[in-house]
Amino acid sequence: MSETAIIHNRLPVLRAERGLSRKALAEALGVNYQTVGYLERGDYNPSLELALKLAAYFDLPVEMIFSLQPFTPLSRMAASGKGD
Amino acid sequence: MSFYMRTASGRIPHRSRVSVRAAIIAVLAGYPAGCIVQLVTDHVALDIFGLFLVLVSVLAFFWVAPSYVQRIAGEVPSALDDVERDLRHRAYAFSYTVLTALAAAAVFYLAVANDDTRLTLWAPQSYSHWNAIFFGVLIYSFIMPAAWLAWTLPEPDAEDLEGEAPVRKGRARIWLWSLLAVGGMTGFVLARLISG
Repeated sequence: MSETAIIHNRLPVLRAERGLSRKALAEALGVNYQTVGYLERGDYNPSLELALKLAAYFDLPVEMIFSLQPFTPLSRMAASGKGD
Repeated sequence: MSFYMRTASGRIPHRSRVSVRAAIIAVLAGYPAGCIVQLVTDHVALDIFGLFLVLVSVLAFFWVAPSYVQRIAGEVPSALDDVERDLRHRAYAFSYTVLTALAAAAVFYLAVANDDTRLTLWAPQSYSHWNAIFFGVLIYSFIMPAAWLAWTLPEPDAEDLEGEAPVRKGRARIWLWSLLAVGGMTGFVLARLISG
């Protein structure tokens, strides 16, 4: 839906790691629960403020959560790690 | 300009995207259709039918009024998040384009209708004509941003719907709306009988 560049994100993985529902994450960030779904699916891009809030919430650098390039799947990262 | 009807609990009631779209079509088509039917006919039955269409469009508006899309359009900005505020700006930009086009077309029509007596075009003259136009403009300006949102917002997935308020049994409300509709129609018939 967004007319700007697609921003890829790791929100579903980070949320799953912490056992959070979209609603719980939305409440923690002070946004509507449907907004989290829109961000996860890439329907809309987050504002800088929201991206920084998410980075602070997950205690990660913002580039670990959002990227202009697709993230490498964890399975491929694990496979390449085994090969080293 | 828009309008949002916040529920007493503050939760957003579930409205399927299809039902919201159908209600918006009922508002956008029903109100002008009802007014035109009332304008062109002197027959009481058709007059009541015209009023019925207007009533349906008003009820449809109040169906949309507490919905998620209308919340984005009409809630105070401080209660919206970043994405919702961005969506509102886009919805308002669309509404501005449509409403200015409609206003320009209406002014052009009125200019021709008032100036060229050979065409004998209809032009609003009485208080009831201007009253109908006023409420038409009001209802269109209220619903137009929600219309854009209802057709452009992505469908929520199953996980999104987990956060929505549970669907309540609407029996009592259907009776309330029916009572209001019957009251309105009775008032109209009585007014016609007394004035006729």
